[in-house]
Amino acid sequence: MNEILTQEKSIYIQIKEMIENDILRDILREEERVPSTNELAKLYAINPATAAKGVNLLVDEEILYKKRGIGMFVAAGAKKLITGKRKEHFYDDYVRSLMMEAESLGITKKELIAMIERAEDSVSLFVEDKY
Amino acid sequence: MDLVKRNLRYWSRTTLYNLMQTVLVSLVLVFFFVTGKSDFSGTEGILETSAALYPYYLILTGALVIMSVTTAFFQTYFFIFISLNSSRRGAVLGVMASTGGVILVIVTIGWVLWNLVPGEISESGRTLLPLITGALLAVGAAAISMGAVNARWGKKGVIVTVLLSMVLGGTLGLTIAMGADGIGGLLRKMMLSFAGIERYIVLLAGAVLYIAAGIFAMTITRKLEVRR
Amino acid sequence: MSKLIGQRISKVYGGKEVLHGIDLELESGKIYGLIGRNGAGKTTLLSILTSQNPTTGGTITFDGEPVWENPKALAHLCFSRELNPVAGSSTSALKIKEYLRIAATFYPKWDKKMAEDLMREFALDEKKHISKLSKGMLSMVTIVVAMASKAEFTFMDEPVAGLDVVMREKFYQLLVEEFTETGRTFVISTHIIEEAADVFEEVIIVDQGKILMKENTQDLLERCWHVSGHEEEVDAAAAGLERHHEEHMGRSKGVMVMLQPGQKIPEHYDITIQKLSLQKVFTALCGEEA
Repeated sequence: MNEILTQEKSIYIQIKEMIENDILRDILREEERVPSTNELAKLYAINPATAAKGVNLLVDEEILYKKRGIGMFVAAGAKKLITGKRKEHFYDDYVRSLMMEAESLGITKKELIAMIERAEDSVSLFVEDKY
Repeated sequence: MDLVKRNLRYWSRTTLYNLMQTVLVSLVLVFFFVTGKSDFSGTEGILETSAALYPYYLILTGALVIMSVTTAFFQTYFFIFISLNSSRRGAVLGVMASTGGVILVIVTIGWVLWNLVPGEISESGRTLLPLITGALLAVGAAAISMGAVNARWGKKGVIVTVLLSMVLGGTLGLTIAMGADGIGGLLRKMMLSFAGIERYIVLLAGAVLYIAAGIFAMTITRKLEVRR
Repeated sequence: MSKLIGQRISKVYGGKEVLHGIDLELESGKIYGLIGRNGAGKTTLLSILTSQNPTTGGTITFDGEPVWENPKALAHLCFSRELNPVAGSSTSALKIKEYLRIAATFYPKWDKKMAEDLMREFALDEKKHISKLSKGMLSMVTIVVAMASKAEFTFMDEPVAGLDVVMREKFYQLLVEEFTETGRTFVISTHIIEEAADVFEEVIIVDQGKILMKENTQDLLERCWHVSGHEEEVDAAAAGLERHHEEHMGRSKGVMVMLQPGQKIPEHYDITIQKLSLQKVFTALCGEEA
C-alpha cells in the first residue's frame, strides 16, 4: 500500500502487485482482512471497478479469498503461492530480457556468468534466507 | 407533486419580498401626497383619506414592481433557472404564479380597506375593484409578454421596454405636475371615468390576456438556448 | 439499472452542424470521462443531454421517457456548467447563496448539509457575488452544485479548470468517495486527462462533433502501444495493424498501434514497445488536423 501508481503498467495490475508485495513484506498477513475495493479506490483516487479487477485476479489465483458479508482475506499459504508464481515468471520477466540485452550488446555467455558471480558477492545474503 | 411544492417555496419568498416593497413604498407615497394636500372634501380626515386612497397607490406601485421584477426575471433568472434544471414551462409558470400572487394581495388589501373605511372614495373603490383587477392583470400580461420577447429576441425587446417606460414615466410626470390628490387621486379620477364600461368585462379581459400572455411566453421560449 | 440514451443527436448553430448524428448510451453506476479538443462539441453535447439546449435532430430519453422539458426525467439529472460570468451576463448579479437556493429548488434530491459542508471545506463565503469570484472559486461552486444535487446522472463540464493541483486532487478524492457511497453516474469533461484517467471507468472521446470512441479505459489502454525503432522494423511489425500518429526522425520511426481483439504485435522484430498514457492516446487520435 501507499506506493505510487505509474503509467508503466495497467492500474489494476499495479494494485494486484502492490497487494502481493505487502503480503510478502508481512504488511498483510495470512487470514487477515485486505482493504475493500472501495477503500482502495478512495486511497488511490481510482475507479472502484479498476481496483476490483486487480483484487479479483488475486481471488482467481487463490491468493485472496472472499468471506461473504465481511470482505477479502489473505489465503493461507498465499506467501508461498506468490513466491512460487514470481519464480516461474522470473524467467520471462528477467532472464529472457537479460539474454536479449546481452546479445544485442555482444556479451558472451562466459562474460555473463562472470558478471553473475560478481553480483552474487555484493547482494546481501539475508534475502535468500527470507524465502 | 413535490416539484410544485418546491417551486412554491422559492417563489413565495420572492413574491413576499416584492409585496413588501410594494406595500411600504405605497405607504410612503400616500402619506407624502395626502399630507401635502391643503383641502379635504367632505368630512373625511387625513387618516381616512389616506386609507381610502392607499389602494390606488398600491396599484400604481404594484404595476411598476410587476413590470420591473418580471423584466429582471426574464433577463436574468430565466436562464439561470434552466441551467439549474428547471423546465422553461415551469419557469414561466412560476413567474406567472408570483405575479398573480402580488395582484391578488393588492386587490385583497383594496377590498379590505374599502370595506372598512367609510366614505365616498371607498364606495367608488369597491365598485371599481373588478376593473382594477382586470387592469392589473393586463399590466401583468404586458410585462410577461415583453419579458419573454426580451428573453427570446434580446435587443429588440429592450427597445420596446424602454419606449414603454418612457411613456409611463411621462404620464407620471404629467400627473405630478397636475396636482390633484397626487397620482393616486388622478388614477382614481381616470378609473371613475371608465366606470360606465362593464367592470366585469374588463376583469374577464384582463384574466384572458394574462393567460394568453403566459401561453405566448411559453411558446416563444420553448426552444430557448442557455447562452454560454 | 437506469439508462440515459441519446439517439441520432444533431445540432446546428448558425448554419454549421456542430454535432453529427451522435448515438450515446450512458448507464447508471459508472464514472465516464468525456475528452475532446476545444470546439469538439463536448459542452454542447452535455447541455443537450440534460435538456438545457434543444437538439436540431434526434432524441434523448431517460429510462425510455423523453428528457426535453420533462421535470420527471430532469429530476434524475444535473448539469453543472462552467460558471464564467462575463460582466453583464445572467449569473454575475447573484450571490452564491441565491444561486444555491435556486439549485435547491430544482434538484429534488438536493442535500443541503452536503452543500454546507462543501462550502465550508472550500472556504467559500455564500454572501459573495458570483461576479467577484476567482476562477478557482467559480469551479468550486459548480462542484458544490454538482455534488449536492445528488442526481443519479450528474454531468460536469471541466470542473477542475481553475483549480490548483492540490484542489484538483481533493476533487478526485471527493468524486471517488461520493461514487463509492452512492453509485451515482458521473460524466466529467476535462482537459487535464492524465490526472483523471484513473478515475474514469469508461472514456468517451469526442472529435469534431462525433463520438470517436467509447470504451472501458483500461481496455483501451491495454490495446494501444507505442512502437518505435528502425523504420523498416516498425513498418514490418505494425503491418496489418491499425496505426495512428506516425513520427519520423531520420531512419527512426514511432507510431501508435491499436490492437483489435486477438491481435498481437509480433515479438521477433527489433523494436521498442511501450505503453501509452490516455493523454498520449488521445493526442495521437485527435491531434492531427483533418
